[in-house]
Amino acid sequence: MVISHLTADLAPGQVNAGVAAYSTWVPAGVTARSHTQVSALFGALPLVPPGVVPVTEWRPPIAGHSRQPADIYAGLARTPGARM
Amino acid sequence: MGGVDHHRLAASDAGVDPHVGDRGAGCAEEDQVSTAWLVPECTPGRADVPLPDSTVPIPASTVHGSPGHITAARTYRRSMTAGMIAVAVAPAVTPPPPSSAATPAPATTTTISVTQPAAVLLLAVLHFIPGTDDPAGIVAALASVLGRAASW
Repeated sequence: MVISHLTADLAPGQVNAGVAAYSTWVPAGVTARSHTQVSALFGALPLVPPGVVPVTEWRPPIAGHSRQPADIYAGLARTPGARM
Repeated sequence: MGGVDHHRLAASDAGVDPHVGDRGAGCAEEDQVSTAWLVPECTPGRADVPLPDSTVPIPASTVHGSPGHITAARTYRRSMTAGMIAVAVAPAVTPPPPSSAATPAPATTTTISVTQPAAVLLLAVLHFIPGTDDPAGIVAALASVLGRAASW
């Protein structure tokens, strides 16, 4: 189970402004969630290291790709019965 | 607001594009995985992300949601460091109730080979699910289906 999710943790001003702008267009809106909230989406599923982190920090950087700021958390968890 | 014609959709029914999908060790290479990517023309860093060869214009009818999604994509450009937004083009995310899911629909098993490693990728999806719609419950339901799929 792989989840990536918008967060305002790292740039609250910019992201919350974006959330507000988006929500003026779309009734359902968009919800930025905190690290704790995104982690909670996985429930009891066991997270694979490094856990829920900014998407650019999920797994070591690929050669030639430098880390950049990201307002998206990403995490991966195994599901029951998952094949390796 | 340029509309969807300013964007390109790259989809592969045969597998994850190696440029896109193999960002970490052990990613699927030849499983029957369907992916779709909406790549805003204005996304910074896009040049760092090779586009799949199969990029095609997005018919407006295939894009779910309002033009506001595109506005948001630009608003959130800082977030798009990977140079792309994954969009959900699957027709439904609501899994069948457990009582009726003992045998999957043929369309499911012909699309997804659960004899191979399978995954649910909720990429930039759940922030469109408000808390009142129980996003954690959706994840749990999908994980449950994936777990049962191991015995199909």
